[in-house]
Amino acid sequence: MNYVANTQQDQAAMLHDIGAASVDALFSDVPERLRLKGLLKLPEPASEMEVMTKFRSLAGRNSSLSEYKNFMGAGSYEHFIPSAVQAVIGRSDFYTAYTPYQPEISQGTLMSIFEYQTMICNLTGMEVSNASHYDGATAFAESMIMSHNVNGRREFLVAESVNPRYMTVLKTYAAAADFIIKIIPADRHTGKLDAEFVKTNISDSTAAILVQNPSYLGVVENFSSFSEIAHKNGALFAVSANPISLGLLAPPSSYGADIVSGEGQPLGIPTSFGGPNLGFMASTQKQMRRMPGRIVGETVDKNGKKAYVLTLQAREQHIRREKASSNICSNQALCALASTVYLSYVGPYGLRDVAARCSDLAHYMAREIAKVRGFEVSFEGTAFFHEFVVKYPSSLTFDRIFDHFHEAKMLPGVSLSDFFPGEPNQMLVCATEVRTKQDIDAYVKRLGELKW
Amino acid sequence: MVNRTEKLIFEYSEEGRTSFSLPKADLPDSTAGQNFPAGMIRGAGELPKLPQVVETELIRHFTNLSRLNYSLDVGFYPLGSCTMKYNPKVNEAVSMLPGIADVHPLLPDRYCQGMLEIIYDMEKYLCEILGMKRVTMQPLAGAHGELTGIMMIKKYHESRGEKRTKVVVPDSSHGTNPATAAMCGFELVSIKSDANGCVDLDELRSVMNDQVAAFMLTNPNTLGLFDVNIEKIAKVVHDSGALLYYDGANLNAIMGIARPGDMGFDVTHVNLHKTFSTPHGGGGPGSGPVGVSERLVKFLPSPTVEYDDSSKRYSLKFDNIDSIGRVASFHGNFGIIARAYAYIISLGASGILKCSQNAVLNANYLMNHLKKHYNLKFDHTCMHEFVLSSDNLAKFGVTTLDVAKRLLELGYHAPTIYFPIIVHEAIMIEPTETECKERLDEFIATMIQIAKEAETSPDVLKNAPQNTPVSRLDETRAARMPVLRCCACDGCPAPSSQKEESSRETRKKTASAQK
Repeated sequence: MNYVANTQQDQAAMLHDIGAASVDALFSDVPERLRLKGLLKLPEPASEMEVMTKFRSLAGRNSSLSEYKNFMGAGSYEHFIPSAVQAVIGRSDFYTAYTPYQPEISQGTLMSIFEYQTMICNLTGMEVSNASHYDGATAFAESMIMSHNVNGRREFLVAESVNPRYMTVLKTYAAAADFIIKIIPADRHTGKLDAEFVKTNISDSTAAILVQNPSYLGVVENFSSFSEIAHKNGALFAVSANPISLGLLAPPSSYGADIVSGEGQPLGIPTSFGGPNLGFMASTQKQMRRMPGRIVGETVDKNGKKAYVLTLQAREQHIRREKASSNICSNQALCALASTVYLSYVGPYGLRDVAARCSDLAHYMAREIAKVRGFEVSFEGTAFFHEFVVKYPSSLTFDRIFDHFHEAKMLPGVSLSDFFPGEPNQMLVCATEVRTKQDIDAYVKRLGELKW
Repeated sequence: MVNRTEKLIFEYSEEGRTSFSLPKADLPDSTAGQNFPAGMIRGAGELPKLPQVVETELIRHFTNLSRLNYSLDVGFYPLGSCTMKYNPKVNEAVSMLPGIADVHPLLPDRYCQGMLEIIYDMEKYLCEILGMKRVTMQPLAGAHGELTGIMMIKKYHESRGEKRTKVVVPDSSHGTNPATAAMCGFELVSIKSDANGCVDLDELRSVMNDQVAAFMLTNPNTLGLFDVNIEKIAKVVHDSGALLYYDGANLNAIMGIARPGDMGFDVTHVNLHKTFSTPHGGGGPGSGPVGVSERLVKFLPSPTVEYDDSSKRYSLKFDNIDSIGRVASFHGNFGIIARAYAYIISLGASGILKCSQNAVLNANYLMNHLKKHYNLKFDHTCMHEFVLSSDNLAKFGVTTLDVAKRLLELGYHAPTIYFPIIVHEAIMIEPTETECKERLDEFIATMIQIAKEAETSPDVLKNAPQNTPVSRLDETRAARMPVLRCCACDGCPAPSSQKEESSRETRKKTASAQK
């Protein structure tokens, strides 16, 4: 396949017009030594039929969620996506449009981002949202950098129970910026964070306390005391939240968050092997000008007609260069649009119902698993949302469990061996609204059939 | 694109409207939230304020919004530095296949061999195109790729026990270059370009020393010129112990012609959403893979994808102790990588070369015609793009902005304007290879018409655009009195309080600026 329209006649006419002897002559600035002598070592050109066949064959070697009953979450969640979402984001007026730098011909994208910002604010209880980030992990890392930009401090207290992939991204960013990270331990029995550790370790060097709620292990906590301590010490309190959980859970603003970030993938975006995802970030009016990334604002055109435009650009790299609040240039506009359509589709009651169904199914599942001999659900008595930790007999390996379920067309969960190196026999299990009691009963039965 | 008004979705909302429902619950009564800690459950009246609409209204609203957009599927984007080439439909189709779009990122390797093969092959293809040793597919956008690259450079110097504190960029560089360096704690040194817009070797020599970690460069540069001194530049940089960074924004000019790795670059980032035809999506998602030379391989983000020839298995490798760590939640923007993969295997080696050849031919053809009507600062064979200036129209009171806005009215997206900052009243044009000669001729005719109008009826330009959904905006008002969310739903502060807040901020800023 090829998308070049110029024929040999076109090329000849154009070269004649330019006064160049050949296409090759146009590259005469490239030193001879650097010129490639033959073709690159790439495949032969393929027809559309061959490309589709190749992809179908590649797709056939992955265990897709359309074939397997999925109980894996851990930062990428399977939720039902209404058909309206693809119908909207599949419109090429949206997906083949450029960044809305020319607002007169980009009102569709700009208005949809303005709607997105409003929904993220309403969901998190915050006052200002940006136009989105790359993903949950990078939005979390940017909340660390933003805290530093607010108070100039370089030390961070970070919950041990944040998603370990968020933690490594955070540490990568922190190493580059010469920040110091201190880990707030999570209690092995309750999964809750050690409030005493926070009290003894917070100081006037602390830029922010960063937590995830629900945590990676599924645990829900009221962090009011954490935000109070942070604020008393001139630090910020930053939360990474699951947006579906906010249909049920009190918004992070209610327990004192200054920055709320998170992974928006659950809002109408397929798992797609982990990307593209959607990072969201919201904060307070007070910190509006410290926010990284694009922001859309309302204004009027010269005829007084209401209109939308990228604004507060004095924070951004193309204006401020090395003094910008971040180097981020793009946003995940199309993914933000998907989440906007999703949230509009389900509405406030639908979102609550989805969250409640996830929670109901997960709690039922946890109760049933706890009844299976040899299996335990960790953190008994601690509140969780739709994900929880299952401890399995140490004579079993995660690989064996996974294969056992895979044979029955199920994906049983995500290993926590990296998270709990001392006690590797634990896994994270998730149930969302796409599962049924019947699915869970089949899972529990399968679990009971494991030989150990 | 239609010239009409569309309300915000919130303005369609009516209590009780929805098309959404869940399957009937097969569990007894809901207990959701009952065990939550005090204060952690939303009360009945505290649900998030989201629109309540039926599907008909929702689809019409978003369809109407989409019709307020200009897009590649309706017309030409002569947008310099952004490589707005056509987005092939097969790329979209493959990215949505079952087994591609619905795969969980934490599956054990043995159950996602197809995905790992795509990532592995993409790395191999990009290594070949770039002349680099290895490539990470993890970075999620071009700027994110830059960040990843500079993080590796920082770690490289640290691993050698050197504390280098500066990054050098040319004055024509993209804003992300200095912003990225600053995020990694580097001090910025900007050097002047020479009379041809290329790197001034003497200037470069004068700033390179054992404090400099890297020199960041695009080649072709932002003026669309290939820097003939590239090998000398690489030598100056490497002699001082620094590394050479390639901003891949302009890669579309040289694929199959020459390779950054052969020129001496140590790190290169690629924008799949530019060079490899994936859609811009109205501002993202993009994808910014990063290639490295041999000496940086061990610092690549973790995990990497490896292939074992004996078992014919792909696997993720996490145990690289020198890695800078992860830069993204999972494996990069996989859906975008899959689209770019489809593009590369569609085109093959000969097609990839044809892209660059025709991108450069198209650019020179446009430049040759337009330089008679606009100022061309650097009159030299260009690569895939070139920079004009409208300063020959200044005597009629017309600016580059006016030219750009008139183009919108005449059915085009505007070129990149006022960039690079070293050209006064810059108009940066990149046609790409996917425009045919007739479209280029139409564009030339339009640009000539505008240059004539500047002389005969400048008000037509000054008042443009008139036929678009909105005309020129009051951008100052947007920044001075920020309204950043819809206030139609209750619970939002009134615009007046925001106005007060923002003017206080402005006052504070002015005060601190005066200090």
